Amino acid sequence: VNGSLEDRLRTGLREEATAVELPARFVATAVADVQLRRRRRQVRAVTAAIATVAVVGAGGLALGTRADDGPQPRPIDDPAPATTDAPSPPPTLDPSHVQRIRGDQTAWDALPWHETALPRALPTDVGSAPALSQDPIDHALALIGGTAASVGVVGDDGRLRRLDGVALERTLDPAGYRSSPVTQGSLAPNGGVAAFAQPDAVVVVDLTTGSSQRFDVPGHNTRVVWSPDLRQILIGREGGPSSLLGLDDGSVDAVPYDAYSSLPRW
Amino acid sequence: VVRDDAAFTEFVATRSVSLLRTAYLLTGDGHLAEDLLQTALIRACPLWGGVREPRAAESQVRTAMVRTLINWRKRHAWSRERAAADPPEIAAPAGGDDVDSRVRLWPSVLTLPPRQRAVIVLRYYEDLTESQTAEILGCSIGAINSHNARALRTLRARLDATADLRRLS
Repeated sequence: VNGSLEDRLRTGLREEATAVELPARFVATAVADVQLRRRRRQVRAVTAAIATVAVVGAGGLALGTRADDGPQPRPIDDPAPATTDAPSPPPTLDPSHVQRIRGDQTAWDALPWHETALPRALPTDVGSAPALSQDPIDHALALIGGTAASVGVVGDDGRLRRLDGVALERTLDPAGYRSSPVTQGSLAPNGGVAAFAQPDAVVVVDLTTGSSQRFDVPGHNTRVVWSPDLRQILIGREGGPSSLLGLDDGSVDAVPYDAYSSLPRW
Repeated sequence: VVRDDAAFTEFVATRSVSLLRTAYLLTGDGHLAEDLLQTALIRACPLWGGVREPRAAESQVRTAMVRTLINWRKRHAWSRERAAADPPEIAAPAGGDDVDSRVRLWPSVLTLPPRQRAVIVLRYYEDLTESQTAEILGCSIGAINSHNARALRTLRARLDATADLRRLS
């Protein structure tokens, strides 16, 4: 009996595996990504070497000044040489102020609680939540990225809904990584609308009605943030220029700097 | 570096299908499988300069995939979410007297904990020995045997339960 189960595993796994095909872009993307990372490592190594030289140079300067008679006036733009005083003692924590929490729930429940509009624990099971179209909200307190591209919406009653009626996919970055379309900047400050970065598009959803609008925005869009007046969305992509989407007319303008790193992530 | 790049490209081009299939069996999701393989290639890449033997490189990438997967599962609660969201398919095609062989094992394999699933994939798909499997997971042969036994017990129990259900209906 044991033998037959193992044989069936061999056959079954092989059948599942042979159905998997390699996506056409995979090899090129994987190689490019590894090369990019190798270049970054090389840049870091060069930077570290320059930093070492700089410190050595400063040390030599310090020795040189000390050899002269008496203190010398130092030019304003000349940085002070690195000092090699005794190391300062490591920072310490007063253990009486530190409460150690073990994994059990009672210890967590005993912690002081700051009341906010958010429920004590955010529901995260997007898959089993009711559809937003069946259970509308006034405004959202939070968006939750679910498995794959599913999106959870926490209403002002603290309950979770599943965003439905909108076709969303996971974002795709130039290295081929896919992520949830929910990022920190997705939910507008008023909680009424949400924006989702998509490959070659940005999708804007009115969370109170469920209606959505798709804007063509070419590129590996991965991050978004709303303008305070909710009329524009700044869109970032790794390694590429950022753009500004005007919601009144769907215009897409290049931003003259790379805003990616300063955009809210995840 | 140029020679390394060419060798690396060659390696990725020739071995990715096989590695991606293993990744799919480990994750049960096409996109996650690609992410897993990509991550493993990057992890194995610093060692690439020192590796001239494609077989050794492949085994390094495979090891990186298994260990990355186990770390992902530790960090992300979605492994539990997923197990709950995709229960094993109880409904097998009706008819026929050979009940057991008609019930698919794969959905049950998907619900195994990551280490047990990794052992099942390495032992029965990759056909690795116990000691090769132990090396990849970084644990003892005894631990591999215990993961293996538990996984088989679970799979057998699921099969029996399914067969019972079918008999009842």
